[in-house]
Amino acid sequence: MSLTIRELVFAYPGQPAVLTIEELRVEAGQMVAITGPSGSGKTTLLQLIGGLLHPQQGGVEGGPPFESIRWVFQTPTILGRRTVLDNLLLGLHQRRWDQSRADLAAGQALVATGMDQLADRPAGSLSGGEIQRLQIARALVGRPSLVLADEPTGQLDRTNTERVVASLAALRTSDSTVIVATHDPLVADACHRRFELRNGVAVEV
Amino acid sequence: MWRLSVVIKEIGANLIAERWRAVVIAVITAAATTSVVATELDQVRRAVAADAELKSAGRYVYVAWTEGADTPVNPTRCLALRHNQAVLAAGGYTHGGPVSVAKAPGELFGARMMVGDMPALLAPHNPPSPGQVYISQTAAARVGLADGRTVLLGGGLGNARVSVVDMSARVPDPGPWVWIPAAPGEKLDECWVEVVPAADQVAQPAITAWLSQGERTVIVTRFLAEDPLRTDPVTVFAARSTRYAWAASGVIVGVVVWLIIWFRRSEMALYRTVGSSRGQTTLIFVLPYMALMVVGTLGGLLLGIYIHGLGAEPTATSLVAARTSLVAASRQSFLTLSIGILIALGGTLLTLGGSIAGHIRNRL
Repeated sequence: MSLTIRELVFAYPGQPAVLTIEELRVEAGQMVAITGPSGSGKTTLLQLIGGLLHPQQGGVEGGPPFESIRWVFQTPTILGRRTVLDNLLLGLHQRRWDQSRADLAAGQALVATGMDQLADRPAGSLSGGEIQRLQIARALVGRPSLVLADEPTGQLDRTNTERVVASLAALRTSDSTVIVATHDPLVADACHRRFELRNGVAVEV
Repeated sequence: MWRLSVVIKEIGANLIAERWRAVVIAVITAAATTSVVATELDQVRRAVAADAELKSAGRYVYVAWTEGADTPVNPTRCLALRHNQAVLAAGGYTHGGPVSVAKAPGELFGARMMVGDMPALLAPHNPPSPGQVYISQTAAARVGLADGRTVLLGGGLGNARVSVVDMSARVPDPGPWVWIPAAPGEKLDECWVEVVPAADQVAQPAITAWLSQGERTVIVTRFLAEDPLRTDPVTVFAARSTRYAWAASGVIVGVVVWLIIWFRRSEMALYRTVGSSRGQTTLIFVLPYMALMVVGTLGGLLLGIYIHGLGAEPTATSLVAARTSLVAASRQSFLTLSIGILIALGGTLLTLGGSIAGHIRNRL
C-alpha cells in the first residue's frame, strides 16, 4: 500500500502552521524515517497520517482504514499482567483468525524480534527495550497495511536501541508500509528512506 | 467490532491475570459491607431493645381518672375499650377496705378490686397464674407469702389462693396492695388502657372522649410520666450518625475500583487500537469487577451477620430485632453495592470518554 501526502497544511488552533508539505510519497512496503528536532512536528505528522488529526488543507491519499493501522507507541502500552504471547494474540482476535494460524503468526513475530524466549513471561516484567520490541512484534503479527511508530527508541539506552533497531529490520522486510518518527540516527539508518522536517517542510535526505 | 465470544474470553483471561487486583476488590467490598452491616445490626438491635423496654415499662399505657368522687370512671365504658382494635388491654380498679393476712399479724394491706385485663396490664410479660388474690413480689417477700399458697385474709375475705406477681416492669414500688378480681360495679377509680404503638398519637384524646360521656370529666394521662431526659429510641435510631455509612462505604469501594481501572487506562487504549469499542472495553474492564463487588457484598453481608449475630436468646424482642436488622442490613448492603458500581462504571466511562484518537494521542 502506497500513500501520498499532498499539499498538506496543519496548524493547532490559534498557532502558526506546524506542517506545510507539498508532496511526500511513500511506496508500498517501504520503511520511512521522519526525523527532526523535538517540536518539529514528527508526531503530528504521524497523527495526520493515522487519521487522528485532520489538516486544514490537503490530506493523505491512499491511506488505509483505521483498523488496518498498527501503532508502536513511545509510551509502553501493553497488558502488563498477561504474557508476551497474549499481547501478540490480542491484535488477531478481532480478525477471526483460528488459533493455530494466530499461534504461527505470533511465533514468527517473536522470532523476528528476538523475543521467542520470552513468550510466556508476563509483559509487565519486561525491560524498556523488550517492551518496545514487543510492541514491534505486535505491529508485525497482523500483517497490517501500515505501521506508525513514534520514537520507538526514545527512552532507551544504546544497547537496547541496537536491539530495537534489529527488530525494526523485521518490519523493514515485511509487506507493511512503515513510517517511523525518530531523532535517533541508528533508527533512521535502518530505514529505506529518510525525511527531515525543517520549519514544517519535509525534505528527503 | 469484536465478537461477544472474544469479549468474554478477554474478560476471563484478564480476571485470571489480574487475580490479585480481583482479590483486593472483593476484600475491600466485603470489608466495607461487613462494617456497614455489623454497625447497622448493632444499631437496630439497640433501638428495638430500648423500644421494647420502654413498651414494657408502659410507654403506650394510659390511665384515666376523675377528680370528683361523685363522677367516677364508668367501668362498662372502660371495659368496652377492649373491643377496639387499637387497644391491647383495658381494665381498672376501685379501692376497697383494709385487708389483713393471718400469716403476717400487724401488716395491713389495701384492697384493690380489679376488673378486665388488669393482671396483664400490671405484668405484661409475666402473666400471673390464676389466683383468687394477687400480690406483688415485693409485698409477698416482706410478709413471707409464696405463690400458690392459700392464706386466711381478714376483712371478710376468708381463705384465698395467692398469686404472687412480678410487677417490677411497670410498678417499681407496688405498695401494700392486694389485688382482688371482682365483677364490674358502679364505678372505677382508675381505668388503664394499653394501645398499639400506631394509635399512640391519637389515643389520649380518643380515650378522653370515650370515657367523658355525660356529666363526667375524665382526665387521661400517660402511665409513664414525661421525662425530658428520656430519649425516644426510634428518634435516636433515625438520627444515628452512621445512617449514611452505606453511602460512604459505597463511595470508598467505587473510588477504589475506579482507581484500579484508571491505572489500567493504557491497556484500555490498547484494546481500542485493536478494534474493541468503548462499550466492549468498558465491559472487559468493569464486568468482572462488578461481579467481584457482588461476591464481596454477599460475603460481607454474611460475615457481618456472623460477627454480630442475630440474637442469642429466641425471645420475641430478639426475633423482631433480627428480622428488622436483616432487612435493614440487606438494604444497606444493596445500596453500598449500587453506589460502588455506579461510581466504578461512571468513572470508567469518564476514563474512556473522548475519541479513540484522544486515547492513542495520549500514548504517542
